Amino acid sequence: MDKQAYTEAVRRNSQRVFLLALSFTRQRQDAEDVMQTVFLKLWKHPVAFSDETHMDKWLTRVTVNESRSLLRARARDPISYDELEALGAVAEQPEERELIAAVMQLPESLRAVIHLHYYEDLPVKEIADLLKISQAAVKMRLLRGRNLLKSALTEGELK
Amino acid sequence: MTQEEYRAAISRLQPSREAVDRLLAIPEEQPKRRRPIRLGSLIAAAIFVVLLLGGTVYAASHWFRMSAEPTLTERPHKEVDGPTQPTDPPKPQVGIEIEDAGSGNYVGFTLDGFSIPGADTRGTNSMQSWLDYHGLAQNAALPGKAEGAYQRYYAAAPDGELLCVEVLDRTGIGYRSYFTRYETELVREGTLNGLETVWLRIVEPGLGDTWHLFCRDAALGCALVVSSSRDFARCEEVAEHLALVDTGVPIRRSDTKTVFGLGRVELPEGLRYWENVPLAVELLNAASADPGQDLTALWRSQILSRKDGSNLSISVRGERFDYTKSQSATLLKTGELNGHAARWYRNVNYTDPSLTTQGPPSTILVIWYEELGCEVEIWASQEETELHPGELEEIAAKLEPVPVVLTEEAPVEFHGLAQG
Repeated sequence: MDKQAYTEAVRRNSQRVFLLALSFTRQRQDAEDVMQTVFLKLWKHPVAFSDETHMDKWLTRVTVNESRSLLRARARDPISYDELEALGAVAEQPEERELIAAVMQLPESLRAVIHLHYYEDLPVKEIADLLKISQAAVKMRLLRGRNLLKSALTEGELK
Repeated sequence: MTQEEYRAAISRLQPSREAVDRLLAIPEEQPKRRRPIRLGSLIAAAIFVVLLLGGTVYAASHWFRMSAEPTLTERPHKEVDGPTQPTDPPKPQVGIEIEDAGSGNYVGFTLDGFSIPGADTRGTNSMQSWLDYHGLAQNAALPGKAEGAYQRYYAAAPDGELLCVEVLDRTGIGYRSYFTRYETELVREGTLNGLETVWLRIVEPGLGDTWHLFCRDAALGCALVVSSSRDFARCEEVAEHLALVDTGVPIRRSDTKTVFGLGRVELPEGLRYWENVPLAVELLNAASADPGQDLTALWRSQILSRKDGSNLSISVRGERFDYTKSQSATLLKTGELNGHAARWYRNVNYTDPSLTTQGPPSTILVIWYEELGCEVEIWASQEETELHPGELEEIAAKLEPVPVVLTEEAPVEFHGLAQG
């Protein structure tokens, strides 16, 4: 990959990779570490991508793998409410702050599925392939995630 | 919560400016990898090499040509578990003709009296190491003045200047062609230090110009290229110090009328096709002696992917190759597999044609098909092989190399696959 293509890839994908990593790690620093590792791998990737879609899918897969590796390597303490507030502080509207906090409070297994479906717009089958779980499990997690978010947002129950 | 609401909220979160700046700095932090590969890719054999089939020619020199228009309508394709897709669009080409390329001896060069103080020259190949790597010198020391000769000289100066000189190896084909990838300008032709010389400027968007001299010695029947990131004056300074050296090692002449491909095979559970490099069908369809042979089903190499995302690769070539002659590789065992002679190597490092080592230590299973005269290799990282015992052998049982006999000699691109 030449420098121009790499720079373009960073500009086009850095936020997407960061957000996907954040949906796993919930820690800004960890997500940025994952992002750094992913793009270093992209730079070193020995085989040319056939098109942008090919590269995007590769980035998604590597980000998921790296995020999981990091979580396995660092058995972190549960995220504190202060950290959640800090994450959501960038939002201007109170509703958005609440939504970010609610999503980040979901269990990891639900959080990643919600993000991949709602932000990456991936179909159930692709999420199942990425996370190496069944399609039924993806559907179940989407359902549970939606229900938890609904109750958190309507009842203000951030646990 | 709707998708729009989620996206709007989550998009407020952005990586810090510092983190993105660190990403953008990655290429600068690793100049030794990037630039050598770029310059190397320009001048090394790894670039797609094809027969010149026509097109407008800028340079009318009998040994040097540059097409004004791409001479192929399409490039090789890659496939990712789906329909075949074109990769990069065609690029202008530079073609070099080396007379009597299939005869005579391999030639190296010296740069007596030339050096760049403080330069990192780790990308340099001696002629001895290059011949050893290709199994051409039987590990014998080169005679006399050939002992200190280079096959490739690479220097990265402290001020960022890059310089590369490389012999264009002679593998039995009269033409070598280079997809130059970027805007290419033929500046002039002439003579320098007794060598027929062509001055070429290549513009790479975003990275500036590079300057190249293609030089030919008619008596020795060989050509080399001098490339600089500074200017033509630096190239000319180097060319003035060039002395070509006949190694006395005869050029290995191969049967270039036979190439080999691999058919798609049923894969063991847990593996899927990831990327395939096909035979250049647009060339071979015209050159195949058997018009009924389905070449579209044949591949030069294949990359397979495991469920965990790790890869292994398969490739075929028309000669035997002993990794222990050139690497830290160890021959683990020899034996028979499905009626064919097989060898297992460990601690093999992937080494590209410029002898640059990449990737983790690997295990290779090599199967020699005596009746066809070709060898199939299956590569996997050592660590992964230990996690998947028996996998290489299971794949090998399903492989079948297919010879393709051509009416004309194969392009250099396929030399590695030609029957030796």
